[in-house]
Parts: sequence; C-alpha cells; structure tokens
Amino acid sequence: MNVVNKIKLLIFLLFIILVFSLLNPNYFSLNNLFGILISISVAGLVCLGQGLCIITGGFDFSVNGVALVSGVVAAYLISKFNVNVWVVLLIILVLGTFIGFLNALIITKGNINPLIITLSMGSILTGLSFFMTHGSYINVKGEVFRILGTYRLFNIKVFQIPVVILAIMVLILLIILTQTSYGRFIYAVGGNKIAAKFSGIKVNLISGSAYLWSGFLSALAGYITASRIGSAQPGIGSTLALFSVTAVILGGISFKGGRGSILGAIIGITIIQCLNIGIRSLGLAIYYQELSIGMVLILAVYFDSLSSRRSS
Amino acid sequence: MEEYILEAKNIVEEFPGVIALDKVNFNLKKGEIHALVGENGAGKSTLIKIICGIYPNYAGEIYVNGVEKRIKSVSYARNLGIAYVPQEIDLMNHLNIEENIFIGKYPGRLGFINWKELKNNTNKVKEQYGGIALSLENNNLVGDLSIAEKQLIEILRVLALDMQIICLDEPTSSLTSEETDNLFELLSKLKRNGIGTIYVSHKLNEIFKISDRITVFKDGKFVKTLAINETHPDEITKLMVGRDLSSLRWEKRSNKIKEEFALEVRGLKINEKIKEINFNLKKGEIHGLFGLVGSGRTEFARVLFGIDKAKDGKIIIFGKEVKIKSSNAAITYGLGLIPEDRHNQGLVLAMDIKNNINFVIYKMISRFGFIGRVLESKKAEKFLKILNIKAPSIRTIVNNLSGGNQQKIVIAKWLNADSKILIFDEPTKGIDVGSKDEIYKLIRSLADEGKSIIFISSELPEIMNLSDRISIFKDGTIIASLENSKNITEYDILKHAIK
Repeated sequence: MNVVNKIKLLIFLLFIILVFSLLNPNYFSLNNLFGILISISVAGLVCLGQGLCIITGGFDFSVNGVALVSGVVAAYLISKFNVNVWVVLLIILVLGTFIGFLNALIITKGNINPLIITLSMGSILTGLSFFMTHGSYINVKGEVFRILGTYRLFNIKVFQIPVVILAIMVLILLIILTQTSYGRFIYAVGGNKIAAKFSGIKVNLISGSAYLWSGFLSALAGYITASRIGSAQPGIGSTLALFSVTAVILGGISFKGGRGSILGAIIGITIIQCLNIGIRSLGLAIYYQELSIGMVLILAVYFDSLSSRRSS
Repeated sequence: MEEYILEAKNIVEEFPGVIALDKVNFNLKKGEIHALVGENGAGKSTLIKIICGIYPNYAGEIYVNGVEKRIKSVSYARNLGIAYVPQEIDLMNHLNIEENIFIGKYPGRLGFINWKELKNNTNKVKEQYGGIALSLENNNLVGDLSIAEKQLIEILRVLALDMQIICLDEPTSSLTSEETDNLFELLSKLKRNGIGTIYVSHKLNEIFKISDRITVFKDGKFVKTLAINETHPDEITKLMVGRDLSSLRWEKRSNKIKEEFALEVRGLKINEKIKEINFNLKKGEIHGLFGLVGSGRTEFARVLFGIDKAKDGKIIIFGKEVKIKSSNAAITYGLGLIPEDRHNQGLVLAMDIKNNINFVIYKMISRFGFIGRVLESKKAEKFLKILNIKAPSIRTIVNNLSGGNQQKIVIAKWLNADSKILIFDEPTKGIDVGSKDEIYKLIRSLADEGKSIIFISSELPEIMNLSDRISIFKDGTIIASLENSKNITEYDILKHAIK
C-alpha cells in the first residue's frame, strides 16, 4: 500500500473520531481514547497474524477459537492445578503455535482451501472451550495472572503492557517483512506461488509459517484478554475472525495476496475499534457493530478489487 | 461455379506489434473437409477464431451462404451455424452426457426440463452418427470420460445444434491412433450430411487421409490452396517453410563448445507417453529442441528443473549423477529455467525488478536472515545495465514492463544466480520482433561466455538460426538429432516432426 492510501485511511479515521466526538462529547475523553487503545492492542495482535496469512494468499478464521481456548486453558491450569503463571504463558504460546502448525499442515499438505480448514478448526476450539468451562466463567485468583493485561511500564498509563507488547510485535514483524529474505519470500509466495516455486522458494514452508505466527499471536491475545478481566469466558471474542479480516483488508492488504503492509492492518483495526466503541458510546445495541463491520468489509473488498484491477 | 458455404476475403487481424493475418482468403464448400496448415504463428488458429467469433475486431469480409456477415461474437457465429471445437475441450464435467450435449437448448417449458424428450433427442443424435457414440451411456458424467470421448460429446453437441460448419483445432493432438480413426469415421459421416469442416492440424499424414482440399498459410499470409489429390506431403512441407523472423544468422561456434558434457540424460521415463529420452548437452553449446505441442519437450524441461518427477532414468550434471527432487535442488546443481509462461511461472508481477532479480539469491546475500540492501540494489542495477532492460528504476513493478523486458528480468534472475545450464522454454513467445532479436543475441552471447543452453521452441527459424545442435521431439521421444549447418533446411527438420 502506498503512502497516499495510508493518508486517505488516516483521514477516514479522523473523520470517524470527529463524528463520534460531535455526537457524544465523552467520546474524545482521555479515558475513552485509552479504552480504544487497549482494545486495539489486543485485537491488533490477531490482525498481525491475520495480515501475514492474507499476504501469503490464505486466511485464518480460527483466530477467535485459538484466542478463546488459550484463555480457557490458561485459567484452567492456574485455577485447577496451580501451575505457575509464567509456565502457563509459555504453554499457551506453544499451544497456539501448534494449532497454527496443524492448520498449516492440513492446508499445505492436503492442498485444501484455508477458509474451510481454519473455520472448522475455530469451531472445534470454540466447542472445546465450552466443554472445558461447561459454558460458564473460570475465575483466576491472584495478582500475578493479571500482570500481562493490566500492569503498566514506568507507571505511565499509555505504557500498559498490552500496548507495549503490540508495539514490540509490530516492530518485529515490520523488520522481518521489510528487511529479511523470509519477509521477501512471504510476499513472493502470496504474489505468485508458481513463480516462487520456480525460483526455488519452499512455498509450503513459507505460506505455512504464516499460520504459526497467527496461532502464536492469537494465543497471546487470548491470554491477555483473560488476564485483563481476571477470568476466562467462553463466548468472548467470537467476532474476532471477521473483525481481523475486515481490518486487514481495510488496511490495504490485498485478499488476493502478495500486497500490503502490516502497518495498514494496524490502521485498519484502529478504524474498526474506533467505530465499535463509538457505536457503544452512543448507547446503540451491539448488533449495530456487526452491521457496520459487514458494510465496512464489503466496501474494503470492493476498493481492494478496484485497485488490483487498476494495477493489472 | 461451385457454391461456398463460407468465404473469407482479405481478412486482416492485428495484435499489438504483430500482423497475425495479412489479407488472407479462405473458402469452404458444403460437405467438404478443408485442412488449414502452416507453422506455428502462421495464422491458422487466428483465422478459425475469427470465423467462430472469438476475435471480432478483424478487417475484411466473411460470406456465409453467399451473404456478407460481420461475425461479432461467438453466439452470433453459432446462430449462423458455425461451431468451434477447441484444442482444450471445455465441458461441464459434473453434468451427464445428455445435459452436456443439449446445454443451452434443453427441451421443456417454463424453465422446467422435459427429461424424456431430452433423452429421446440425445438418442436420436447418437443413432444418427452411430459408431462409438452408441456405446456411451446417457447418464455418465462427462468428467469420467476420456479426452477422445469428451471430444465426441463436443462434436455431438455441435450436431445437436444443427450446425453447418465445424472448426476443429488440432483435434488429434491428444488422441491415440484408434481414437483418431474413430474421429475420422465421424468426420466422414458429417461430410455425408453436408456439413463443412475446417480442420487445423500439423499432422500431414492424417490430413492426407481425410481432407478434400488443403490451404497453406505462412507468416500470416495466404500461400496456396490445393486439391488433396493434386499434391503430396513434400510439396506442402516446402510451402510451409522458409519464414524469417530475425536478423541473426546461424554461425559456426564449434570453437567455443567444449567436448565434455554439461548435462547427460539416459533413458528418462516421465510417464506412459514419454517413455525414453536420451539427450546430452555440451559445455557452451546451444542445443535446440524442436517439436510440436504435446510432443514432450516442456515435460522434459519440467523434469530437468525438478518441478515434476521422473519415473526412471539417469540425469548426469557435470559428470555427477544427480536426483533432482525439487526446483531448489535443480538450482543448486546449476540449472535455471526460463519458463514458457512468463507471467505465471517466471515472475511475481506485483513486485519490483529488484525483488524479481534477486529471489534465487536472497539467502546468499543475507546475514542472519537480513538482506544486504546495498548488495541487492547493486545486483539489480548491474543486470539492468548488462541486459539493457528499459525501466525507470530497479523499483519499477514488473507488471508495468513490456514483454521483452519482463523476459530479460527472468533471464537476469538466473544470471544473478550464476546458473551454468539455462533452459529456455519458448523464450520469444508473445514478444515483439525487436525484442526477439535482442533475446537471440543475448542467448548466443551467454553461450559464448560458457553457459550451456537448452533452447526449446516451436519456431523453426529461430531454432535454426541459434542452435549448434538440433534435436527433434516426437511422441515423447527424441526421434532425430542433427548438427546444425548452413545446409540444413527447415524441411530437414520438419519432415521428422510432422510425419
């Protein structure tokens, strides 16, 4: 995505903030903006993984399932078996990456549409989470569990741990995508699988790795969510898959693969969370969110298709 | 004065940079099989595509039953009774035979299909043409049929729609000889029913078996129309050849060719059709591979480059026997492939020149995974200059370049990887005349520098102007191999390939 498009998106973002601020003066309060920032930081992690998958020409619709099962497993291990919180975090990250590995294995070895596989995987994980919690909450006692979700660095409010984590992940992925050969191969595989193969690039390895990232980042997001509220709740984050895809495409990552920047995905999720929280701040029912996201997704895909038609 | 059901006069078709047809004439009588021959690029397919409405922007006149018609679309051609059976059959694989034959013309009312009538109609068409048509079960899914049977369905479909002219493009290229006989039996029935057939093919022996007249095209120009009983295959072959596309002339390069082999292939078996290939390539040599589409050349290249796997046989590269399991392995052994389909196989169009040139060597110019940015740009700049690639900068997106420059990027990719053996598969396809010349010169200078080159092409003139040795593929094997010289004529090569 070029600079002009990014500026257009930022203007669109400012416009949304302006509209909601006019409709509800509280919208532009520090507290509210801070809430938006936190919600961006959790969903943003998922969007990074989703962005990688879409750049390689795939999709990951299991992100909500991974996030959910991660929160549940973490809460379960800590509250039932008293496992050390940091060990649990490690287990969760390995678990998420492993689920991503399963996705990648089935998609690349079986040559099956990623949409179907990840959607099914998401459904299985969601089902498992309900099974483990019997549909209710698992509360986690103790302050240590809450560090990742609620502590702040240098006691500055903006430096909440989730925000810091997102910033670090964005930086890491930005460096990987722009500075390393692995990053270049990700774009090559997404842009033209066959030509990449004909250039000696290990196509399955590269496109599969995106699902590992996505699993890892979704697990991290799921853990942070549970850590923020101090409990695991099945049913939370069910819209994450659709929101992340919308944010990524809105941010200029082409759903045909091979084009776009991870920064765009972050701008995309910012717009979406501003919209979501704006709708909520007006006291409108939750289904207005889904309604608006659906419309945004259709518009984003439409503009994506327009721009790729123009460039070919 | 005989009556023509189709008459094409002064047909001109221009594509960007090329005149594909230059004022050609063609006519067809009722109940006649009229063969259309010529080398690749002679304009045969272009003409039948115009007649069938696929290329509507032609100049010239077409008369159907003596009335001038402007054939503006495929459906318009169909309404005039002109049908096209393409080389690649395209049917609805998940529908059964009757549903396919009558598609678009189902009997019934208000959108409801009268299945009984559909069955009767299908049986009627089958009975009318008998032979192997009768052995087909109406309820079979078309996807389960063989290529020959699918072709039969395609032809029956044409009959069901009451066509008077049928255009066949290379109909026997993927048929066995028995299937070919069946097809010819069917074609003679069509003939008896007064249907005119335009038959495009490379296979002269088949043409002489089945046709009434034969027309030769060369370089987009009409050469001659002859009655089949007044000519013989040799005369036709001579009429087809003698084109020239390049200013580059063949020259003796034997002082630059080493005696040792860069590549040796022994008893290579790829599939049931391509059973045994024996081949060798000397260091510094340009070895031309000629053959018709489907003769096995491209499959051979794919196996050499590790895209497909061989079933049996030996591949020896620079004296060492190797197993090429992937394109990655092929690259390590020093091979580079400039593929036939540049856009899908050679380039990532959405990325820039710098990326495309460096894909193969990114791992080598990276430290701990981080790309050496200066080196990356330097390499790209270097090849932009050496190969005279016309582009604003190394950051230009490859999609925005001309075909010739895109091809040079693919070549640059392998030069950058320092590949020792380069396989060019139809490197000048879809490239304008000026750039073609540049590519030829480039290939020769690469060979002069010591690269060993396999040059695959269906264009005889370029094979003859460039190759040191020429091998001819036919039916999945190399049937002849000859040292190139000034005395070799196109006829010498073509006679192996088309007989």
